[in-house]
Amino acid sequence: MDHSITVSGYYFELRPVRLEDAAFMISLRTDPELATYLNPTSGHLEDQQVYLENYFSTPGDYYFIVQGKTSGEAEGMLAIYGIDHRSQSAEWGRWILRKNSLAAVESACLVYRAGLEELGLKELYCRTVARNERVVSFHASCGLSHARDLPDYVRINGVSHDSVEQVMNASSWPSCRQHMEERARQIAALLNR
Amino acid sequence: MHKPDIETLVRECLSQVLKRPIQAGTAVAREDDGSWDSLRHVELVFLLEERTGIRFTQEEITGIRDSQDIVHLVAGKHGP
Repeated sequence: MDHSITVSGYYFELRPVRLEDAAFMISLRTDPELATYLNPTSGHLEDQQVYLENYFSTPGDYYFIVQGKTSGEAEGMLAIYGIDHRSQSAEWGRWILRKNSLAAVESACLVYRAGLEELGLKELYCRTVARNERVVSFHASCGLSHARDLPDYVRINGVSHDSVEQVMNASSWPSCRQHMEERARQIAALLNR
Repeated sequence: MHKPDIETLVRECLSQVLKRPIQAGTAVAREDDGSWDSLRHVELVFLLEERTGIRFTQEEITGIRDSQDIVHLVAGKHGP
């Protein structure tokens, strides 16, 4: 949806996706190394623009660009979607960052701030292909708890993959935020050297 | 620092961050170790900086592929 949420951290920030981000989004989502565990994306600019036009009119879908706070340089993207108003929970995903980016920790921290603080949700969960062990481990390192295994949950390029659902809830967020923000602060200091 | 000392230090830091013992002479590669995630990677870098007084550049940090890369980086910055 055409939202207006911006969340700033120490070095990076989240801002709403715009139509002019289409080419950048294609460049990441069609990179074979980065997109191993993502659904295939058309490499045509017009297709991505149509996708974004549809996205802008889809309620409850918050797509963000991760960018340098002062440089404005796009670093990647992520989204919050599938909001369940009854349980006040949502999924986050479509997370992809440029190669050699150091935005992982802060962008994850910012998405929890967006979901649990700005949107007032009680729970944000993510579903990761189980074979993508480093990302599953990353979420655990950030303090997410394992919710459930999802056998054959996704099909990518015709192949079924098991997924893992991990959850960050509002009650555990404050202590996790402290840990993640300390690391984000250190990374910002390093990038500002 | 001599190379055996650096190897010991790197092993200690990796063991602390990855939360498991690492035997001497064992090479650990990011690609093969699912627990060596992005958060632990920066924690490892900050721990190494704290223990050695060395500062790494962004390119050096993102270029680390395995424990041997770290040993070479630290050795290169410490000099002979």
